[in-house]
Amino acid sequence: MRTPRPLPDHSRIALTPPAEALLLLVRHDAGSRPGDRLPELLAGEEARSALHSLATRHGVLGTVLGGLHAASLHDPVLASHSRTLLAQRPLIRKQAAMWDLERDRLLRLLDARGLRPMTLKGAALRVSAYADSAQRNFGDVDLLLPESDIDRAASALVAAGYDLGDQAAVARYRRDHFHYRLTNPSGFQVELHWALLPPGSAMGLSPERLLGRSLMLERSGEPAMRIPSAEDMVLHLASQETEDWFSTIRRLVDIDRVVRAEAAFDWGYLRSAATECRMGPVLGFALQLSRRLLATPIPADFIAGLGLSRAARFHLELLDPARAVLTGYSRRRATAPRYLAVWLSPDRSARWRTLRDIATDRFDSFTARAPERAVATPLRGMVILAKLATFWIGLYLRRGVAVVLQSSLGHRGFWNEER
Amino acid sequence: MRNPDLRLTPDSVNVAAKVIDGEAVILDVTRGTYYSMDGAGAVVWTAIEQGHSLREIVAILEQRYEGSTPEFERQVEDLADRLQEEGLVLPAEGAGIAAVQPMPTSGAARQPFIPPALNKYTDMADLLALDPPMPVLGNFEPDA
Repeated sequence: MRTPRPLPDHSRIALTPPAEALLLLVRHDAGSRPGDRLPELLAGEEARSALHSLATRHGVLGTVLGGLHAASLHDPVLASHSRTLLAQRPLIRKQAAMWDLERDRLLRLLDARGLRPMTLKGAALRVSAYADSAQRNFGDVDLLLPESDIDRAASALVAAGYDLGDQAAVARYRRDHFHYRLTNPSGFQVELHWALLPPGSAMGLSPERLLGRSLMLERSGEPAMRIPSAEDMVLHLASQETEDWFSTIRRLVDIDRVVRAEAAFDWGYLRSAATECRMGPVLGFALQLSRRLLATPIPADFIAGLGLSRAARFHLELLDPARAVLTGYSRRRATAPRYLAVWLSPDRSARWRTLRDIATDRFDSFTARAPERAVATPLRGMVILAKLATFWIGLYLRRGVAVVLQSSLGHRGFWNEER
Repeated sequence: MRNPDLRLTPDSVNVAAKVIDGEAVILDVTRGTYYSMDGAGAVVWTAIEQGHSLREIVAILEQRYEGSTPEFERQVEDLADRLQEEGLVLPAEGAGIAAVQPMPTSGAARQPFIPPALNKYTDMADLLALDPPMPVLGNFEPDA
């Protein structure tokens, strides 16, 4: 049997100090690992400010502050360094309490009208997967209902002070989108979903799948909350990565927490569901990133069984994915999402369709097609493809240079499993 | 006190509240305002939620804080008036009161009494914003 190459853990990825601190603090065991470099990494005000900015950009400020609080309890030096950062923690906790209050008020209000929506994403995760609600901040309450109940739910929220927008906006949402967005003058926002993905998505994650395996989370003194099963949460989170193409670590942290929180995680179901929903490559990539960055426990050979071809794995590895996520590469380079979409397509024919959509400028970051856009001119299509080709060749060249220099760049061996 | 047997109840239709880290956070979503009370104020709010009368709330404060009964009565009555003026609580109807939940005695030594203050904020949307600036201590002042 061939001896596997040693797996480079994230400490061998070339990390900036703020990125290294970020990863240490979003880990599930932040604060319980003696000897880590946090006091050294957060010794200066500039470093702390950089961490704050990075955590905010990645949407994990609450998680970072929770980890920092836990770590500071055992380390007086770190506690001293972290005072200004931790001064924000009461504010974050107050924010979290307010969102929780409003979420629960809405659940009661809808329940009084015979509606039991499924709570999705942050509003559910902070209760089911995070030890402390404030560790998972969110900017809106996502609720999923059968399509037949959507209008009734929207009416209930409008009666409670939310604004749905004018009739034209509502009609546009129903035609082209997969949720209503309602806002409240107080600053709260709700998304009422009747589907999980935009029309025309290459993935097939249906609301019926989630609703059919939903769980009721009983909470003392609070309304019961209907949430997806842990496996469906992971599927949904992976599908959401195609919204911004892995430009933040927030969903990876969510995946890590969900997997760890469920003692009887059904990996067999997850594999079959990923295949049925044509999500194998996206899920595999998300899980491998979570494993590499956060040491998420994933069974041996699970990712290998998700249908990522050798060519896809090679091309994804070229992107130096762990570092790309930390630096928000997909956000900064418009071509990167296109490249990812090509190599995360579920099969060869989907890959060709994606290329066609890219060439005709119909590729949207979150859907295979953007029907409202006019077909690109031939010149525009050639420019887009040329940029993609240039980007692609650049990755090949970078790998070639690394091989020639025998450089131990961290992105090689991205797909290795931990021993 | 004018009505020591008065029981109040939070307006559950428009108001949502939670005590977190010893601070009562109260939302009036319809008006876009939120309120906070810490210390004795959070104790009073919890007692109101649990269905205690004003007389019983005074007794609870006497257990926890140093001070005179007339002072506690005055402060509780003032706070009750303020909470009603702000529309956060309503007089509880006798038939609708759930069984009063006894508040556990703190067991600790009585603390100096700081009169409860109902802090009101109208910048809820700002507070809910997800990209708070790097913290500067003490930059958060109540409107009232």
